[in-house]
Amino acid sequence: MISGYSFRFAFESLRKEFWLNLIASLSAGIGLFILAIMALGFYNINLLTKRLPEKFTVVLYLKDLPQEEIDKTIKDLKNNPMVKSVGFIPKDRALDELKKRLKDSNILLEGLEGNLLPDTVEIRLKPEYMKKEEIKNFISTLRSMPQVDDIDYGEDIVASIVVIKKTVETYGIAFIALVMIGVVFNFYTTIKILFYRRKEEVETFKLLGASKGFIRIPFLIEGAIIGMAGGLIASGFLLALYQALLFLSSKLPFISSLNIFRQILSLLISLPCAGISLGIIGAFFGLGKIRY
Amino acid sequence: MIQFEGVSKIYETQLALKEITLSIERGELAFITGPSGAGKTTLLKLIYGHERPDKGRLTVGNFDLSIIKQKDIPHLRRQIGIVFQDFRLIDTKTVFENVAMPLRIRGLSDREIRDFVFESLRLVNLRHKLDAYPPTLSGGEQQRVAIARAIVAEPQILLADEPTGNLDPENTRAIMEIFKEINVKGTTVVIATHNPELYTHSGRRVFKLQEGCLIGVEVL
Repeated sequence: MISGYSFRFAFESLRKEFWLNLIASLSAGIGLFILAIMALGFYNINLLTKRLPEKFTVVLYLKDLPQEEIDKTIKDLKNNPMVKSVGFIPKDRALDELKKRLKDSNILLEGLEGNLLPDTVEIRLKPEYMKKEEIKNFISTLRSMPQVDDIDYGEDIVASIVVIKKTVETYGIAFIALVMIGVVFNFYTTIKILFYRRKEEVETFKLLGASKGFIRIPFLIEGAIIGMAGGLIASGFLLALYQALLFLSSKLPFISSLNIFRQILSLLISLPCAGISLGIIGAFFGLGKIRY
Repeated sequence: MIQFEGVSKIYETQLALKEITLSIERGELAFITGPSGAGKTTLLKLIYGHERPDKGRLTVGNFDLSIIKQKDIPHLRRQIGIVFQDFRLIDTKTVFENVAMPLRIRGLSDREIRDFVFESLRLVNLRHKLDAYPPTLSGGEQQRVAIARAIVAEPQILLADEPTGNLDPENTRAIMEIFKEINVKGTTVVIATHNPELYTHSGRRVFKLQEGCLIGVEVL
């Protein structure tokens, strides 16, 4: 049913309505680019929240205690069912590490006498206890321990990641769906306009015995081509973003920690395919019912 | 081939055809005549399924148009060649592409299409105009392109709505010769016209319409 003529008809229309098709492709490209950015954000936030248990650490700064009491504290902590692992950093090692880090700015430590750093215990929790309330209760228990001087566990980070995850889950999917509908609507209106501009020709074809498929296929091809062009434009934008991030990652190390480079590369291929699919869907609805 | 049994067609409140009963045999060349507004075009439109009968039964070949399904209409129309009163040529397509339209629909190869189109344009004496666009042609030439398109796929039935309306007497005779030639090959030809020159002394059946009613059938 898909003949060379269907392609010729579609390409002829693409050429004749060049500006309309270009604008449609650009709008689709921008829409698909937004979708790609949303998908990347969605993926990374999910990844971040999934990896949170691996990276989440509670740091206890101990008071100046004798070694036996430190050992007892560590033993007690290890016996806590919520705790996965406990690491101990003696204050002397902490000072050595600090010195190593401040190698070039040793002047900061020159005025200090003795070691002011505390002994530190690093606690990692079991993944099943990585819940806001559980963490809160655990921290309260730790605070009540007389050996503990201070606690650091990135309370704000935990809270904001939880909020971001919830927001993304609630609104992200709805927003992605909305942008997708917008992209499809763009194809819908474009094909509708193209169809009406060739209405006389289509009507004549119908009177001469053309089947619905014969009439529809060139417009579906046109939708697919506009969609593919939109996808390629979005891939172009994404490639530019990729280059920019590669450049920035050498200056801002946190960018390298985002897991987006491989995703961007796979999206470069997926976007034209998504464009083709959405183009065909939009064109299909744009053509509506064909009646004789 | 074409059978009207008490067929009526009403447009909103206006009766376009009233209980028409007529039969056109396979291989016949017949005329439908009558003044403007008599219902000639409506009768042709009913035959190619552009309008549906409101009453009665209409059969064309194996198709019952009173109950025909949407999906069967293209199959019906592929058996019919139509010369439209307003030609319905596509201004942005060349003469060649206009004539090739019915063949494209049938999925013929480019080589077959070229052969059929050349032959059809030769019949209407427009072989030299195949690269021209319809707006650059005279009314008579456009009409002949419309005829070439109607006959190119060698249909079983040929319907012509005022096919010589824009032609001088010489071209009118030439076109009538083409219709006769096609008819000789076995095609059923139905010509709607108000031009008596076409059917007088033709020896063919002439169905006379007036205000939507069939008022007589004569062999002239």
